[in-house]
Amino acid sequence: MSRPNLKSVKREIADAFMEESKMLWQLLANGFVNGCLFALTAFGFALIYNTTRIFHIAHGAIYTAGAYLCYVFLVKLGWNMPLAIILALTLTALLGILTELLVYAPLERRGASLLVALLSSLGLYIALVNFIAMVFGNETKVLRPGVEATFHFGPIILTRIQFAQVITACVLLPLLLLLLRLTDWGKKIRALRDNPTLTEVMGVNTRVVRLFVFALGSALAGISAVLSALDIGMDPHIGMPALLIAAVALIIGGVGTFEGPIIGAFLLCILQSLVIWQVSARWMDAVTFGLLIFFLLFRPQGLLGQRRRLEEALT
Amino acid sequence: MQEAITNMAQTSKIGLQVERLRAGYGKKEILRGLSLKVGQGEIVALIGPNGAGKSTLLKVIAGLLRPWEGSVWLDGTEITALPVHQRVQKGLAYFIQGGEVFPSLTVRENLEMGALMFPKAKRQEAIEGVLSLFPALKENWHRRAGLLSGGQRQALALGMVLLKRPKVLLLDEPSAGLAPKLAHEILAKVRELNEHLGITVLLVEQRVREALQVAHRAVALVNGTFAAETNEPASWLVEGALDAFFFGRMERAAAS
Repeated sequence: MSRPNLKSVKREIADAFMEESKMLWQLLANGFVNGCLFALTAFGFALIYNTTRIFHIAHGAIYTAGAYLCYVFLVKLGWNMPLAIILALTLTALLGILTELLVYAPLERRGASLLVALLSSLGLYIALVNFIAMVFGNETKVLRPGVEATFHFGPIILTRIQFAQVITACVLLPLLLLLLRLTDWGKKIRALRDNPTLTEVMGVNTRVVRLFVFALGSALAGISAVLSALDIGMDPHIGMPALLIAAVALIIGGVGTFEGPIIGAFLLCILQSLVIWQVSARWMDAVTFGLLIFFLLFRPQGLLGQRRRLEEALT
Repeated sequence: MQEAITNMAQTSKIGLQVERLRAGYGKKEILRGLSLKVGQGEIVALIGPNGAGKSTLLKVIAGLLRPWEGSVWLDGTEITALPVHQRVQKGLAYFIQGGEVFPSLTVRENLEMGALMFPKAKRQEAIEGVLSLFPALKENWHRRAGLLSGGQRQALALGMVLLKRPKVLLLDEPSAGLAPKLAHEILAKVRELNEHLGITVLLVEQRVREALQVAHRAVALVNGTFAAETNEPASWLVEGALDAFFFGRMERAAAS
């Protein structure tokens, strides 16, 4: 065969490689963007789980409610975006507070076990999601119709809303971690995580701290939900996958830690992205739970969790 | 005997008082109508066999366990219905059995938790005061409290409780698990604090001998009720002096 043909074959192979590596970068970026979103949900879930030990399944419903509240203000009532988002987040936080006030706190006062709290949480999830589906219908709703503006960073293309997702997470998460370390409220939250009885004996009103944790955790779920809904829209069932990723991120990152679930969420989302590339999108959930089982078997304390001294485990 | 307590209370001001307390876990009754008064600035040692209700009594006073009946008074005000944190604000501090600390917080952060009620500017000063009592804590300033040795942890726990500047201090086995020398030191510290700051102390201790040495008065509990008391705790140090209500009552309880 003549030489020009060989050249074109070579170019084709080179182009294919270029495409492939471009694709890899884009998928890694998508994983990172998703990681930003789910890190917010996971951090909120971890705040609540670490301090109260309640496996707050209703967090998923509160996530969904956040997106729908924004839909009501932005699309149904036609208010401007910042106002709609702020109102939606405030109400989401309030929803978290109500969950604690009306469900978990009374259960705790009666000395109910954590299993009872978990079942109540599941019930609350089902009730809330069904209520949302009843009012808004099961079909997908869009917050902003039309095509988004895009930004190019070398081989990576991000839409404007994806860019906003990254910025929000990259500002909020370090800030929250810093507040946990440096402020009195942060110390109270970490103290409650370590030992609720001692926190009370130190003169802290733990009920108020718990309310604060529920408000903050729920608002974070709301932020994550609104940012996601602005990008890909919503249906009443968006909460459950978000909750599952948050819970798995907490376990692989390290239960009891606050940095762990953030790292866990990024790891999970980037891995999912790579699976879409190499295998198929259908295997995403299998990978999530495969990773969960791997950690439960081989590193149950998670990435950042420390094996505790015996005395610590007792307290 | 019950009269003796009342008489004592009339002669000095009462720091802490419980009246006809009944409390327990589930359906199991632990405290059976217990009354007790502790005068201001007094150290009272509570002694009695395991299961007599000593720790339960402290839990009820601290507010961690709701009594079925009866009342708790601090400095003449009733606190029976108050939540734990409000009792602390009123000057009641509770050293939990085992010397609990926040394991993943550093020693500094633990002490800051103890000093929460001070305005930020005054916290350091208050913490310095505690560090002068337990200088070893300073060496571990940035260490996670969960990594401290048993004795250091106990000292930290006591330091955190003292930062509350309590009027009344409930101590549940402050020397448990410590070497005899350290145990002695901790109890000597308790006596020192009582003398210098006038803190009222209700002390539960497994080391009966040491407890009786630091206490002004001792009360024996058996089966959740008052069994005996003495204004000269040292008199109970005599061989066999305690047998009567430790073993005698227990046998009777077992028989009934």
